[in-house]
Amino acid sequence: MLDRDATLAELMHRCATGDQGAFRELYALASPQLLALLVRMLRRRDLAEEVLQEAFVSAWRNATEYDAGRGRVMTWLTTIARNRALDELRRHKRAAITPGVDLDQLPDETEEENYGPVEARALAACLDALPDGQRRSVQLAYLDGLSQDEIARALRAPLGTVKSWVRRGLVALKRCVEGGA
Amino acid sequence: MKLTAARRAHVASAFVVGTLPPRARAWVERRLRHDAELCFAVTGWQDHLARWVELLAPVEPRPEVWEALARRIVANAPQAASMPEPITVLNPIAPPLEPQPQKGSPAWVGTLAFWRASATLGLAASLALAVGLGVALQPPPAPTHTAVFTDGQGRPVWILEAELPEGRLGLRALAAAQPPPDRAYELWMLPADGTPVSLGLLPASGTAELQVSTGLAQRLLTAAGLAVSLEPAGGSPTGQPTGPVVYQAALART
Repeated sequence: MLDRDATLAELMHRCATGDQGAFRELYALASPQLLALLVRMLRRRDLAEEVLQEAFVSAWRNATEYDAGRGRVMTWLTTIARNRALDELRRHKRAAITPGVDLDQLPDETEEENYGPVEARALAACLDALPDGQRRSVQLAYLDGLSQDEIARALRAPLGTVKSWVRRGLVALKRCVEGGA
Repeated sequence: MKLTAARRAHVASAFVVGTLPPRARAWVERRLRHDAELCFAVTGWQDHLARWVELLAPVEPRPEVWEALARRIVANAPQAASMPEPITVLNPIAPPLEPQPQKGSPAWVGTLAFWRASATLGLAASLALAVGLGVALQPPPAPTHTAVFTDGQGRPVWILEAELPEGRLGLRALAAAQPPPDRAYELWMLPADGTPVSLGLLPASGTAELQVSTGLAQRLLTAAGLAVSLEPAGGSPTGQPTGPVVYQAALART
């Protein structure tokens, strides 16, 4: 869906001139996806919405910094939102999450497939091609914001194994995505 | 320290996926400031993995989230040298400003999150931002212009004293400035041509000070007038007046 990327880039450009209407459209287009990520990372709807708000305030204030030549708007917004969520997780030391972290509590990983543009589905295909342990480890790290220790606990696997899964998973993923496989 | 290609690829992927230990993460953050290849690798990973987010089932935020956000952006225009109209609300109606960065010091980095986002998106722009944020707080000025908003009986409701072209606006609420519950009075400049431009929210009591950009201050000098509209608490969600215009006044030279 190149159109969506182009639309977001245009809106972002207008935001940089202080266009609040464009910002509202940007929010309408991008926020449901970002909130999906934040709810997943923070496991609390209210906290996720707080972080979403902070992320968009930051995006608005720093709109002039967005450089279309260096990445898509969704990438930029995702990076901002995700980093804020990670800060939140680190600040709370995951008190509410870590002790009982358990696969049963983790979000379902098979909610995907029906959403997203072609490029995203290409990524999904590459993820699907990964061995289970590698895919789950990379997913828990990126989408859930877990540390490798936490992943090891969640998957009930030795830390060394998890480190290897993450590392090999990422290498294979890069090869697949960049090879267009 | 020289990074091999394989090492760089690994570090970049681990940095983005979030599995680097804190010290290594900090090392990458410092390194990103000057290592263009590492920066490129990190951006590439961010772009790949952000696609994953687009695969998630969307979650619609509750309307209150936008409402709160809209209140905050009214008073916080994007900050950079190229911005035509940055408005900084100083006191007392503004939401708290972000921590004020110090020029030439690493303190401008602010939050890690902000830096990590900006690291891959241009150090020069970040520095411009830091300079843009370094708005000095000035003592109250001698006004060059005033405006008085009066009610239907000719009683003054707000007095505005402006120092132009510096762009400092002092506002004082007199009687009857209290908006209905969950509403706020928002101050607009009516340009000689074009659409109204928000100057900020009016205090319900006491005083407030607004600092507008020099560009906006220049336009104020030739504005056709000022208006006050009744808006949702926190200000217009659209950037244009959405409620009735309840007061108007001319800006007169003192």
